[in-house]
Order: sequence, then C-alpha cells, then structure tokens
Amino acid sequence: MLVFFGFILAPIAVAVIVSFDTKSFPGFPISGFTLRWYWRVWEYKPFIDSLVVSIELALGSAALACLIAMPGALALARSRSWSSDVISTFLLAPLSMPMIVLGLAFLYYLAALGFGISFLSLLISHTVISIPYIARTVAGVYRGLGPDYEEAASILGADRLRTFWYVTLPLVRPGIFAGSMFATLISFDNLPLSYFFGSATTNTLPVVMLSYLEYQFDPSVAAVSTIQMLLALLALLVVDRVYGLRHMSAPT
Amino acid sequence: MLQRHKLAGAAALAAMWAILSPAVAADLTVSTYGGIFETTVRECFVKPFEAETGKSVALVLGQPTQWVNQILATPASPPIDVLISNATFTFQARDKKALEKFSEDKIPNLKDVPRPMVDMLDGYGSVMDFGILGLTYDKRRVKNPPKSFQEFIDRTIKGEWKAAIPGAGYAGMPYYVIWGFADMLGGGIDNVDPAFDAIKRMKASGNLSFWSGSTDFVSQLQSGEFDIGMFFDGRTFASIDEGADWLGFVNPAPGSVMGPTTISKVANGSPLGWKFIDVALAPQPQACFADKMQYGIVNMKARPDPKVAARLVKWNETRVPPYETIGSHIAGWLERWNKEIGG
Repeated sequence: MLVFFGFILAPIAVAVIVSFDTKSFPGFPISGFTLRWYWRVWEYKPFIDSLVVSIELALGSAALACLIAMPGALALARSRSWSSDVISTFLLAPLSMPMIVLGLAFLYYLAALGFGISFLSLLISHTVISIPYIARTVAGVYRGLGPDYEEAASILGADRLRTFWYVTLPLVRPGIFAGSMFATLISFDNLPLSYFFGSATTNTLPVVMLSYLEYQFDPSVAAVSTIQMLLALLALLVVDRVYGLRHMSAPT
Repeated sequence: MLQRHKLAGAAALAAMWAILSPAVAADLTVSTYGGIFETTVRECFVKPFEAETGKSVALVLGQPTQWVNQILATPASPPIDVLISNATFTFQARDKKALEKFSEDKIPNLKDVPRPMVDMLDGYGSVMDFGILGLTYDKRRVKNPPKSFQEFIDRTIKGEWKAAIPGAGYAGMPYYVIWGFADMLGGGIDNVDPAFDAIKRMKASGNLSFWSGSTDFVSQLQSGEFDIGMFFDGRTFASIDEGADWLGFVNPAPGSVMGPTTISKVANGSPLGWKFIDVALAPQPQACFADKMQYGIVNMKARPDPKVAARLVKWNETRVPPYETIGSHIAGWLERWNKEIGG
C-alpha cells in the first residue's frame, strides 16, 4: 500500500498540485494558488484542438477495434484447431514491439499504401494497438462461459444470428466494455504512434504537449495533464453509472 | 424501431465522414515547435507572409524526427513545405535529397544573413535563430561569475560552487558539453580526451551534477541543488522577465556553443516556401522574433527592442560544432560517457 501511494499516486498528486502554482516554472512545493494555467490551456488553441482529436481518435479506434477484434476473439475462443493458440498469441504482437518502432513502420507502410499523413492513418495505427486488448478480454470472457447457453438457444429454435444477438453478445459484453475501456485509455495517452502522424489537423494532445515543452515549461502542461486525467476518470464514472464497473470483471 | 436504427446508422456514418474527410488544406505547411515558439512564428512570420501574399499557412507542431520522417515517407508530395528544424536533421534531410539549395535570387533577404549561417548547412537552409548554452547562475550565491569556461571548470573543482551541466539524458549534450569542452581545451571532434578529463575531475570534486531535461533546471537552481549551470540564454531571460530576477547569465570565453534553429525548403514542396523563408529572414520579422523569444537572430539589419538587443548574443560570439560530421561520433561518445562519467 505504501509503495502504491509513494510511487503511483504521489507523482500524480504532485502534477495536479503544480498545475495550481503561481510560479511560471514548475516547482514543488507551490508558492501560491492560481487557475491561470487552466486559462492558458483554454487560451492556447493547439491544446484544445488536439484534445478534440485525441478524444475522437480514442473513441473511433476503440469502436473500430471492437468490430474487428470481437468476431475473431469469438472464433478463436471456440476453435479446437492447434492454430488458434498461435493466432491468439500472434494477436498480441503489436504489444510486444516498442511503440516507437511500430509508429515509424506504420508511417512508411501507410504512406506507401497512399494513406499519407491523415486522420485515417492515425485511426488505423491506433486500431491495431487496440485490437489485442479487446480480443483478449472478449476471448477470456467467452472461454469462461462454455457453449451451454448457445446450445440451449439453438435447441429452442434460434438461428445463429439471433443466438449471437440475444445470447452471445449480452454474455460477452463485460469483455467488450473492459477491452474498449483499456483501448480508449491507451489510445488517449499514446505518444509514439501519434507522433509520426501529426499534421496541422491531426495532432493529438500528447504530441502537442511534447512539442510545447521544447521551448516552454510553465505549469500549463501540468494543467492539461490534470484535465486529461479528469476526462479519464469521468469516462470511468460514466461507464460505472451506465453499466457498472463491477460487471466488467465477470459476466452477469 | 427500424426507423431509429436507420437514424442511428446515418448519424454514425455522418460522424465518421466528418472525422475522416480531409480538412480544407492551407496553401503552405510549415513545421514548428509548440508553445511560445509557435505563437511567435505565427505572429512574426505567418502574419506578414499572409498579409503580403494572401495565401494561408498551416503550422505542424512536433519535433524534427517526426517532420523529417514524414517528408522522407512521402517525398513526391511531402506534407511539409518549409522545414523549421535543427542542424542535425537538416543534414539528414539533405543526405536523402529532401531539401533544395538556397540562393539569393529565390531569397533576396539572404544578402543580409552572414554567409557562415548558410554555409554551415552546406547551403541547404539557413540558421533562422539560435540559442547558446552559456552559464546561468543564482546571483544571490554567485557574486563573481566566471568569465571563461576554463574558469568555470577550475572554480567548480576548487569547490567555489555546486555546478550542473547537461547529462546523457539530454540529446544536445554531446554537442554542447563533449564537443564544446574538447574544442575549448585544445581537442576537437577527433580528440575528445580533454573534455572527458575535465568532466571527470569536476565530478570527482563532488561539486558537479547533471541535468537531463531543461524543464526543471530553474526550479533546481532555485531550490539550491546547484548554484550555476550550463543553460540556454533565451530560456534564462524568459524566466527573469517572469519574475526570477535572481537569475544571471553569462556567455563565457571563448564563446558558448551555438544551437541553431534552421529553416529549409523541402524538395517537391510548394514554391511558395521560398517566399515564406524570405519573410522569415527579413529584418522586421527577425526583430519581432528576437523581441518575443530573446534568442539570437541572423539578419544583420534587424533592429530588436534595445532592452532585448542588449541581451542578445551575436553569431560571431559563439562556437559552431561541425554539425555535418559530428553525427557519426555521437554513439561512441555516449558509450564512453556512460562508462567513464555515468551521469
């Protein structure tokens, strides 16, 4: 518990506290309280523009990854073929590679395919790294269920589409929610992939923050980090109210 | 029910289209660092350019690794027309034939830029502005700052103060510290022993620490972790103007190492790029840039605010590393640094 507070919560708390400092360079303890740096975040257009891009990207890539990962995960979870284990492991490949290498590779690969530096390229690259999170959680939940429910639906006369819609999908929903939540947060924070696709209209918040720090290091970066954390917390809160975080760990 | 699903589907498609459809493109795209640098480029270069030509400019925030790779990934239709970068990446882009050579007929204002500022980039760009890594100190604790880097080294070893220099975690360290010290102490790019010897002696005295990111330099200096350190001129002046009036800055003999910001025209980029570069190197925009950033500028006819002008270091009061050839030495120097210095 001490380690958790000392090494995980304390640095976050310091960043939040520094965002209210009156000094124009970060330092701890703070010398006074101000909301000036939050105003600066609002005032500096690239922060807000890139925040919007980051939110669109995180939600878009999680949704796309769901569409791609879910059918694959369901098929792999029920497959008895020796190849299913190999493919399941292969699905983790994007996570086993340094993201900066993946970002550089995506840049040249997608450029060769004609996608260029665009939001679509950004979306594709973020979707690829989101897929493992969703595939693993959905497959994990689905494996734990056993085939009984679907067999019962089938015996009662439901065709495959109805069985999927009314039985399978509600049952694997915790996996989808949990995986999507991970994927959204991972995309929202991602720097190394987004870095190579930054353009005047597609820069994400972490890229703008890094570029901002090149010449300026006032506490507005701590303020924008605090806003970013609040948004992540807000997302968790909404999911909890709408769906229930407890439901994400096991099927109900 | 079906109607609702159709409406939801149409809304989702419309949202997707809005996200994926390309934004209206600007006439010219220019790379830039973020924060005050971006607002300065917008105010001092973009505004006069747009007023003069009626063409629009989009700024791409980021860093040189990102911009140069984006250009190299799509060389036939580069996403950036004007590359604002640094010397190392200018040479990388030049080596891949991604830049066009400068000439006075394309950039008339080049006549007022000292020739070495263009020659140091082999003509594939010009220095646009430059910072130096001089000595920033706490005036309350250092009453008599060193007049030379040799004095800085000697007095650190004697224990007159606690000093800080960039460590291996700072990308510019090999240029500013290893080459800078070697050049000053009689070595050079092929002999950096004098630099390593001096740094080892400073470290052994117990009076030297290393900083890895420039973000916390001022707060560490204020908290007393050190009394004097190698740091940037413009950033020091900006901190002084924001209330840290206890800070002092000197450019010790034989001159601090120059860290140039460069401007280049990307091959196959819009020809409008030449006009933008001409505006960026013109006297008035250069003076405007110096007034806001407090970094050295290169147009000799530029007249910044007298208070700023008094602070600015001139290009010939600095030392310029051999940026074209230094790159191949960096990995070896860093390996040696990690073995012998370790900071």
